[in-house]
Amino acid sequence: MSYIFVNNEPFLGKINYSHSECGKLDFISHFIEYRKACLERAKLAKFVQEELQTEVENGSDIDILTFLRNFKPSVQDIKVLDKLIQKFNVFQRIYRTYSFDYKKKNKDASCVEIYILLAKHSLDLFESKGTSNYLDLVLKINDLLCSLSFESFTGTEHDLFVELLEHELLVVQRLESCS
Amino acid sequence: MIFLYHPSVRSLMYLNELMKLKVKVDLIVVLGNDNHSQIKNLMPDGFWNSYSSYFDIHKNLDFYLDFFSCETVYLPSSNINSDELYDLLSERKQETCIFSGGGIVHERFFSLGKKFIHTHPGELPRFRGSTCFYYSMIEIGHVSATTFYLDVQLDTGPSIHSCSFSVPKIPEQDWKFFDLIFDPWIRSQTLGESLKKMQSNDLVPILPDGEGVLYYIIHPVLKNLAMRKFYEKN
Repeated sequence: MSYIFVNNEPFLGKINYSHSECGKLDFISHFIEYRKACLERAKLAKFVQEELQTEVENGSDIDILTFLRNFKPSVQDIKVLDKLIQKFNVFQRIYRTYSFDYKKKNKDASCVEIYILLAKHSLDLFESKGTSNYLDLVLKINDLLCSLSFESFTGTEHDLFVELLEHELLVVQRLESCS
Repeated sequence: MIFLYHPSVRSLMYLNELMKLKVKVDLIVVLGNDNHSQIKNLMPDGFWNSYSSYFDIHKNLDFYLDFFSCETVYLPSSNINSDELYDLLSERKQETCIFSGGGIVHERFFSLGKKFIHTHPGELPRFRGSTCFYYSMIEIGHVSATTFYLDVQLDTGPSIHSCSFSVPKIPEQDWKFFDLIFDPWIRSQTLGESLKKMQSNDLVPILPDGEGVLYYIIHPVLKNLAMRKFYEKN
């Protein structure tokens, strides 16, 4: 059995996690094998050099990339991050800009750096707080990112993604060894 | 009391608890097509037999309808928010409805002046949202359920009673035990304890203290990590 939680229509379709067949002990080995293959693929991928620019903020709108690049684990920032986690869990995508009441302000949900940074901060929060909803998000975002062609990543995204996948693997292996 | 029967193991377990407690049920509303063989065929007979102390697969809806001998209404839709159910409830004087699943109850139902009793598989307000049963297994090594009155927000209504349970060890191949049997079983036991409190009239529903953490449907890797802690060692 191979790992089947792949998004065939990234940023458009959704992966269905309901009633998943995941009870066998070797399920985790298949997951680790799959992620390691993705990690190797990511390390070998040639990436584009162009870096993404943050958008100019418009009044009370939230530019998600700016927010995530400047994220600090403060109560206020975690509140915004929790809202983004909710958005991702419902829609499996995050847009570049939201209004102050979290209505999407554009149609671009394909900014890879946003997903990587959201997962990175969530993984750090999981490590510091221990609440598994943050790790849950990391696993789901990485399912999405691993479904992409890594050749379209920028240099920054590439480096962050490799680091994220390595960190996720370490955490899962650590939890597996505790169980 | 009105029992909203959404076809599932959970609903059958709830009816079993109500039967044991001799709760007076005035009306059972059967939502959608109750096909007991669909439930039975989910797993081989040996599986159901192994866990018969939790759930007796041989007791179907008809068994409980015979026991309660109350009015039964069959609605074609299993949708908890159907117009048919709304109209039916609006005509009934009973105040309390036991909710046994079928989605999130729409806001308009709360304007009917009824109390909807729901049992959530997690300790509230700490574990709110979806699949909290597995998140509890991972984070605290045991599971809980909370019976509370539904309100318009998710898992925030006044709490009636919570119970905690240790998780039994099971063989790896029986991993569906957690979804199919243990989750509905802890809910039914907690519902039973809550109804006892309600019958003894010493109940003061408690409003949740704090927001807790909102969880979403669990990722399969986390679900596996939660379950494997409770597999029997070879």
